[in-house]
Amino acid sequence: MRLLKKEGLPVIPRGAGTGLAGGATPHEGGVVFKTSRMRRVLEVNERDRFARVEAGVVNVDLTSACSHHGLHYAPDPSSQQACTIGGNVANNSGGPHCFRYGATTRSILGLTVITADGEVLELGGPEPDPEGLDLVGCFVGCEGMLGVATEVSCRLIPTPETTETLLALFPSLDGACEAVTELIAANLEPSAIEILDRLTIEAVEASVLAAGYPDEADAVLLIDIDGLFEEVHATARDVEEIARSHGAFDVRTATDAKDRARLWAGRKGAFGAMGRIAPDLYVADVVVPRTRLKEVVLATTEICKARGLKLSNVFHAGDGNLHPNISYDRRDEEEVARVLDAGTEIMKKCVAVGGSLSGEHGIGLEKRDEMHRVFSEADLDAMLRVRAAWDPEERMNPGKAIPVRGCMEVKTKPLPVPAGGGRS
Amino acid sequence: MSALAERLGPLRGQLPGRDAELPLAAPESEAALVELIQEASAGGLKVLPIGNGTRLGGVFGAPADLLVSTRAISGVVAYEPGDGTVTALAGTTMSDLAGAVAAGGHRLTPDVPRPREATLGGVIADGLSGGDRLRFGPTRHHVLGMRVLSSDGEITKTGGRLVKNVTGFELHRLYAGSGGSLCLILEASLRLFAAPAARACATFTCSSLEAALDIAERLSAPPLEPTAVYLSRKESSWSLIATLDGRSERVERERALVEERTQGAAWCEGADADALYTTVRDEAPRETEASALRISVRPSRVQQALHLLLRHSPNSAPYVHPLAGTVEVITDVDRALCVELRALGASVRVRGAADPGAASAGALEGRLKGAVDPHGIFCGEA
Repeated sequence: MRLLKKEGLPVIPRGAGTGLAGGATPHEGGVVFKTSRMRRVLEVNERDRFARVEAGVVNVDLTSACSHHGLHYAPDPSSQQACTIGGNVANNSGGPHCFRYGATTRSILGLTVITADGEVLELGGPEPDPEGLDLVGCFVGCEGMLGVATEVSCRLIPTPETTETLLALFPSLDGACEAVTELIAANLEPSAIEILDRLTIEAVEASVLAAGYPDEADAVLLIDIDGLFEEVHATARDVEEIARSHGAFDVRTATDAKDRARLWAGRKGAFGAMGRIAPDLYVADVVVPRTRLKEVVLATTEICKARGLKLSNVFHAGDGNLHPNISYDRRDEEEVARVLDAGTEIMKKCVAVGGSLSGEHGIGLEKRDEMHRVFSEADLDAMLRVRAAWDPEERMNPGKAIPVRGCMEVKTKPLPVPAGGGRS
Repeated sequence: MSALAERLGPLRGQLPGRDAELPLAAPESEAALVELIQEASAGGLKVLPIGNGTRLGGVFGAPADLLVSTRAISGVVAYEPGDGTVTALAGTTMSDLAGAVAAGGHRLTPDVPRPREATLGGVIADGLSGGDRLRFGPTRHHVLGMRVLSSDGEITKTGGRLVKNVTGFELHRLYAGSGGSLCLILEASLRLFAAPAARACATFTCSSLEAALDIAERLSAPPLEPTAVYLSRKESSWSLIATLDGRSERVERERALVEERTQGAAWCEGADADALYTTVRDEAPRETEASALRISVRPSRVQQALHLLLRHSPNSAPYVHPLAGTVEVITDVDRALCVELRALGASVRVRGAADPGAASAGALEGRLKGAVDPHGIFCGEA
């Protein structure tokens, strides 16, 4: 990092490259700083329930490393088989079980960060509440614009005594959305509430990840409830009652751990399975108040229908985090334009009902220029000032997340092109 | 100052560590607050943002010219039970806020001591967590977004009112716990949790600290997940009180687990448990003229931290959340004690006295202060 500072080169931090918003794309040249080879689990502390890991540790490997202590790491993005903890920190990544346990920021106690100047900072714990400003909280979700995390202290939580997985079958997507809104209003606290619609079900069932989702349903709710046996059983019965009151014609319970794993493998593999529908997939990521789910899901359907696009839905309903997925063919330029237009309209609708641009994928390049829909110039300037405090030369991941406006333009040296060409 | 002083009126406030009373302003509208801060900036006055002034021990001797309270700017801005979030103005008391969300079946966390006195803005600025931190996590985890006023009189927002949102930098995390050193909090949104249908409290009276901590250790093993565990000294004995709450099925099972693992618990339930929980919560030391320490340490090192404290101050009565790793105690502040506690990895905040071993803010903290408070008027302490 000190060498890069000397050369005045932009630095683009990257974990496993699984991000979906272009956050790790070196679109202005510079040097990609990849942490995925830093993959040691340095410490698992059972008594104080934390792990210290290098940034390149793959998300699922952390839970594997601590499962024999009866502990696990809660954030579980769909890409958890590949994505890294460092990447999760940069994006404040989510996942289905964030409904109960929160996004990555709630699971990070401390960080080792290298700044653009090459300074190494030790921020936060593993102590639970260190003195001073919450620099860890400020850093998580910075999309690589404040520095590079190289080591992370992660909070671990006990593996629950039991987990019950329910699959509620609905004749309509509307009914499933209404049931979720009522589950939230009833203050039930499952650990995950996911919705899959018919097109998603068909794609998953036609793939190698076939999970046994029924073909007679137009939508399913996949719900995890964890905790003590008695509490889980009682909550499951309440969930079933609410689901049925909104039209669920069947509510199935996973019979064993294998069955449960199969249902979740289908959910987490859903994006990949959509390759069966079309060669390319636009995965939108927006978030809305949970009382507005049905209205926004209906609006996304209409937006895509009006543009002749094929839409499927698989999303974190409990958090109001929608993933309208549009299947398309990138070779068809006119179709690409319609997809992008639909994406913008969906964002507009979400913001109009009090929602926001991203629930878990981040802003990156994809939504950078949409930030004005949510924030004023003054709000964005406040972010830029904080960014400048960490990185006065603005060399960390330039041009991401915050729109480039007027005099705020980033000025960094372009990477020299080697003689005879080559790629930056 | 004179023109400004005329507008401020007769209100005065006293800061720990300062002999003279200071002018205190409590504007009743955001517009008046903005005007006041702009005037203070133009006049180069140092401003200490406060709520009801219940936690001023952390700003001992702050070089303030003026106290600015948000207590008169209060009220719930938005509460939709189906969304599970609440947004309120900074001067709203925690008890008013808790009452508002209780109507929708929610509990407010943090459940801080003496919630009738504490304001939302003050609690968040101070980074104060309640005993329920054990189960729900620290306050800053529940802040979803904020509107704040900067020293140039500009109002900005960060985050939003959504339970999940990664749009833009989480500046609210920087502001929460910044102790009035960066900006003035105007409004905040919090995530809510389900109100408990049942509650039970187990009280253990132990002859030694070790015996009490041994019980606490037994209560921490999964699948038990108490909402709060308090430890306090009662003359020659130690009192450990564990609160279990949630669905009745959960409380019943957790009670059975506690009875399996321990002996000698005195139980109370329902309204009696609510009353005991509230009483113990409110026993947290008040920040008066006396000096106090707020210690945060890994739970496994609480015993060592308490031994250090009791060696230094044998008659002190620490108020401890052993499983959350926090200790509050009124005691003489001694440099050697602070050094030893910090060597243990503890985070130590001195209240109501000068901190004899405080590390100076790092270069990054200095740059952040300059970035967020460009006129350098806010003189709180993170």
